Amino acid sequence: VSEKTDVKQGTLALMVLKTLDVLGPLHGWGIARRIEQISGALLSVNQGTLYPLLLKLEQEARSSRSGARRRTIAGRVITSLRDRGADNSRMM
Amino acid sequence: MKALRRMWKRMSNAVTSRNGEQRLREEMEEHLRMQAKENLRKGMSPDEARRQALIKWGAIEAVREHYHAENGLPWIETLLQDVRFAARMLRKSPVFTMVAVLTLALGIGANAAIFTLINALMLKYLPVADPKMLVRLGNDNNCCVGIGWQDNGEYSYFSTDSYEYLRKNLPEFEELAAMQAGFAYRPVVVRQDGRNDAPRSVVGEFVSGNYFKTFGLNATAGRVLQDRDDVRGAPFTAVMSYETWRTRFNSDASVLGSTFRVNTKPVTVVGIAPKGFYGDRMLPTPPEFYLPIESMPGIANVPYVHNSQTQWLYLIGRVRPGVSQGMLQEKVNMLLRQQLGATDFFSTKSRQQELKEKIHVVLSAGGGGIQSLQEGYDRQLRILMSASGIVLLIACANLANLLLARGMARKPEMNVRTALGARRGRIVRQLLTESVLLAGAGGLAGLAVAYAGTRMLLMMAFPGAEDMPINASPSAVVLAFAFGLSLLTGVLFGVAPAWVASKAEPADALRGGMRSIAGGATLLQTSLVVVQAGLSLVLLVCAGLFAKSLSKLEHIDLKLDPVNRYIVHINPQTAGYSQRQVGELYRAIEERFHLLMRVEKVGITSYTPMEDNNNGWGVQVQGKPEHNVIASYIKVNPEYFDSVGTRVVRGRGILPTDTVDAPHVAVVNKEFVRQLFKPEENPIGQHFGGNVKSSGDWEIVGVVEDTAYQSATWKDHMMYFVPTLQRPLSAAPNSIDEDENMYAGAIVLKTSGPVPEMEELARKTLAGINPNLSVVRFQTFSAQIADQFSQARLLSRLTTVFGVLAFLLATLGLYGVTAYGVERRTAEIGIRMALGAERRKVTAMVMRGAMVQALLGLGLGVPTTIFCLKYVSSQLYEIKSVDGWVLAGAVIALTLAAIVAGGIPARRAASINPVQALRAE
Repeated sequence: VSEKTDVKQGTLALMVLKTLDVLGPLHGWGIARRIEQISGALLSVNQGTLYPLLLKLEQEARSSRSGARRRTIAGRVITSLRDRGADNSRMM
Repeated sequence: MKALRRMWKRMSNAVTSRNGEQRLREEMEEHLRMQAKENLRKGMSPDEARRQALIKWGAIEAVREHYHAENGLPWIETLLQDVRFAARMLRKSPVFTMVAVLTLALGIGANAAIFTLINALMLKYLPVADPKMLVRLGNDNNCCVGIGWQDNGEYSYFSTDSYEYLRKNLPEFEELAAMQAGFAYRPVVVRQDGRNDAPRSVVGEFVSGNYFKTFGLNATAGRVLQDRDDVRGAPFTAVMSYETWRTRFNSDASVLGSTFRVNTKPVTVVGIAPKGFYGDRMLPTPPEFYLPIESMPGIANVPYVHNSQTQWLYLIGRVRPGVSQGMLQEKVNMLLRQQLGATDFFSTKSRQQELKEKIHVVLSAGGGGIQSLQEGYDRQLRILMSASGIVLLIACANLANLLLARGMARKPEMNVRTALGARRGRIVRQLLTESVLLAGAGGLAGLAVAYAGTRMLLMMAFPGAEDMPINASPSAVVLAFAFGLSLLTGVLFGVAPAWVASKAEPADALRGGMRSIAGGATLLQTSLVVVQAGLSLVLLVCAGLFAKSLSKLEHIDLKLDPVNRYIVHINPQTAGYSQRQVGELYRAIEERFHLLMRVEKVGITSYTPMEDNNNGWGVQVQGKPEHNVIASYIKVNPEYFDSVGTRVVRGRGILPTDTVDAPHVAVVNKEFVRQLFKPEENPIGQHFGGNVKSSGDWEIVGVVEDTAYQSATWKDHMMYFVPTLQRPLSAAPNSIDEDENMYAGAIVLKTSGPVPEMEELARKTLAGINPNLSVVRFQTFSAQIADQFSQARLLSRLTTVFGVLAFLLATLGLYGVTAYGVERRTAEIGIRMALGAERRKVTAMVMRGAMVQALLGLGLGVPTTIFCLKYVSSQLYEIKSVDGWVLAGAVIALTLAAIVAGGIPARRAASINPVQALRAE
C-alpha cells in the first residue's frame, strides 16, 4: 500500500509561513482557510495534516531562528512567525 | 547542533510524554467548531455541517499519529513497543520459544566455547609491555636440547655462545633475552629451607638475566632477575611466579629473601613475578620459578650450558623503534654464520659449505611468546571451529524454518494488520524484532553453555593442568563474539521468514478463511531442510572417521603390558646425586621396592614406553659402511623388560651380571636388526657404537620386540638398550661427570594385583632412601598410555557431540517442515480422501516428500564430505579416504531419521477425517 502524498514535502510548510508573514498571527483554522483560498481547488489538503506541521514548526523555532511560535490566547492556539520581519520564508 | 537540540527535546517529550495529546484534541475541537460554523453559514444543517467538517479534517488517527511522531521519539518508542509485543507473542507459544532458544543456545554456546579457547590460545599476546615490539629469532618449536638444524637449514634454538654473540652485536635490540627451550621436560625439586614440607617437583625455567627487562616487567615484590644474577659464580637467585606465591605461600612477604633448596642447592628468592605473567609461552603448567642461566650447571648439573655446540635456548628480543625487520634478519643471519663458522663443529669443509648456503634464522613475531602449544592445537581447533560452525548453521536453518512456519500460521493476523493500514516494512520490522529477541535469548543461554563447554574442553584438552592461564569465564571479546553471532543469526535468518510472512493480502482477511489448496512447505523451507541434511551428513561422517581413527590408534599393538604396572618418574640429580653415586642408589631402589607387598618386578630406566621423551644417537655397526642413522638410546636395569612387558625374541635381555666392569653389552629392538643387518645375518655378537671410531662400544647380546616409545604412531623406530651403569667403551673415564645419561628417569613397578596406595608407598620408599628424593610424576602405565591419545580422544568426542547434535537438529527440521506441510494441507488431504484417495496413498505422498528432501540432502552431503576430508585427513590415523562403512552408516542413520521424521506426520495425514477436515474451515 503506497502512501498518498498530495503535497510535496515542505510546500505546505512554506505556505504556512508565507500565510503567517502576510496575515500575522493566526489560529489553525485560519491558516487552513487561507491556504485553501489562495490555492483554490488546486490543492486539496486534509485540514488535520496541518497540525503536526504546526507542531514541527514550533519545535524548530525553539532550536533555531526560523519557524513559528504558538501561544494560547483566549483558549485559542495562535501561531505567529517567530521573528516577525525576518525573512523566514526564504530560509526554508 | 540544531538536530541535537531537537533530538533532546523529543527525548524529553518521549520520557515525560507531555500533554501533546490533550492539546491536539483541544485544537481539533476548536478547528472543527469553526469549520462547522462556516458550513452552517453556507446553509447546511447542523449535523451535516459537523459531518463535512470532519471529512475535511481527514483521518483522525493518522493525524494523531503524525502529531505524536513529531512530538516524541517514534523510532525508539515503536522499538520498545515491538519488543514488548514480541515478548508477549513469544510467551504465548512457549514450546516454539523453548525449542528455538535451546537450538540457538546449543549452536551459539558451542561456537563461543571453541572461540574462547581459540581466543585464549591463538590470538592472545603475552601479558607484557608493548608485545608488538617483541621479535623471536626463529620460527619453529623444535625442542629441547640438540645439535644441528632443520633440513631446510633453519635455526630456531641456539647455544649459549651464539646467544651471547648475538646479544653483543645486535644493537637493534633494546634487549635480547634467552630462555630454556625444554624446561617443561626438566622439572626442578624445590623445598623451602627451615620448613618440614616434603620437597616438591615443580616447573622451573632458566632464563637470561635480562628476561624480565626484555618483557618490560617489574616485580610484584622484591626485584626481578638482573644481569648481575646471571654471571658465573654469582649467588643463586630466583624469581617466584605470582600464582605460586599466592597459592602456596599465602602471599607471605617473608618469602622474599628466604632461601629455598632447588635440587638441594641453596637459592635466594629475590622477587615475585608480576601478577598474570605465565612465562614466555602458554603451557598447561606454567613455570613456578625463574632462575638465571648461569646457575643451571650448578643447580641442574647439565653440561650443555657452556658447550659451544649444544643448542638449548630460544631467543626473544625487543627491537628498537624504526628497525626494519628485513635488514635485521639479514644481520642476524650474517652474525650467526660468523659465530658458528668459528666453532669446531663447522670446521669441516662440507659443513662450511652448508653454513654458507643453508643455515639461516627466520624472524617471527614474539608478542605471543613461543607458540609450541598453539602449534599442537592449531589444526584441531580449526576443525572443531568448523564443526561447531556447521552446527550453528543447522541450528539457524531450524530457527528460520520455525519462523517461516510460524509466519505462515500468522498469515491471517498479518492480513488483518495490513487491512488496518500497516505497511509492509512495519510488519517486517515487527517480525524481525521477534527473531532478534529470540536470538538474543538464545545467545544469553548460549553463554551459559559456552562457560560449561569451555571448562569441559579445558579439562579434556589439558588433563592434569595446574594453573593453566586460560579462563573459562567469557571475556569481553567472547561476549562480543556471542552477542554479534546472535544478532547476526537473528537478522540473517529472520529477514526471509519475515519478508515471506509480510506478503499479506488484505482482502483475504476480509474473506475470512484461507481455503487455499496451494500449500505445503515452501521452496525456501524445503531447501533449508536439504542443506541441513547434507551438512549433518558431513558432520556425522567426520565424527565416524575420528572415532574410527581413535579406535585404530587405541588398538595398535604397542608390544607391552600395562596391567598392574606403575610408573614413578624420578630425577636423582635433583636430589643431589652425582653420576658416580647413582649405582648405589639404583641398588637401594631395587632392594627397597622389592620389599613392598605384591611388587614383582622393579625396572629402572632412562624413560618409559609411551611417554613424551626420546634420546636419539647416531649408530654405526662395526665393519659396515657408514649408515648415517639415528637410534634411541635407553639405559635399563635387568628387570626392566619384564616390568614393561617387552618380550625378548632372540638371545638374552640385560642380566644382573652386566655390571660396570663386565663386558659392555646392548639389547636392540627388531627394527634395529631389520634396518642394519641383512635377513640372513645373525646380529648376536655383532658390535656397534656411535660412529666408525667408536663402533666397538657395544656387543649385541639380545633382540627385543618393537615396543612403542614416545607415541603409538612412531613406526620404524630403532632402539638399543644398555645396562644402567655401563658407559661406551670409547668414552673418556672422566667424562662420567658430564654424562647426563647416568641419571635414571623412571622406576617401573610390576605388581601381582592392583595396589591403589602405590603412589604413597613409592613416595615413602624413596624418602626412606633419601629425603630429597621426590616423585616427579606418578601414573599407572595405563594412564600414561591413555594420555598419549588425549588429543585424538578430544577430537573424536567433540566431533561426535557435534555430529549427533547436527543429526538431531536436522531430523527435527525435517519433521517440523513435514508436519507443518501436513497441517497446511489438512483441507486438501481431506478433499482427496473424500474423493476416494486411499490412506496408504496419502501416507506415501507425505513420506515421498520427506524422503526426497532427505535424499537430496544426502546427494549434496556425500560429495561435500569427500571434499572436506582433505582438511581433516592430517588428524586421522591411517585413514586416507572416506571409509565406506562409516559413510554407509551415516547414510543409513539419516535415512532412518528421515523415515521417522516423515512417518509421524504421514500417519497423522492418513488419519485425517475428511468430514472433519472440511468442516474445520
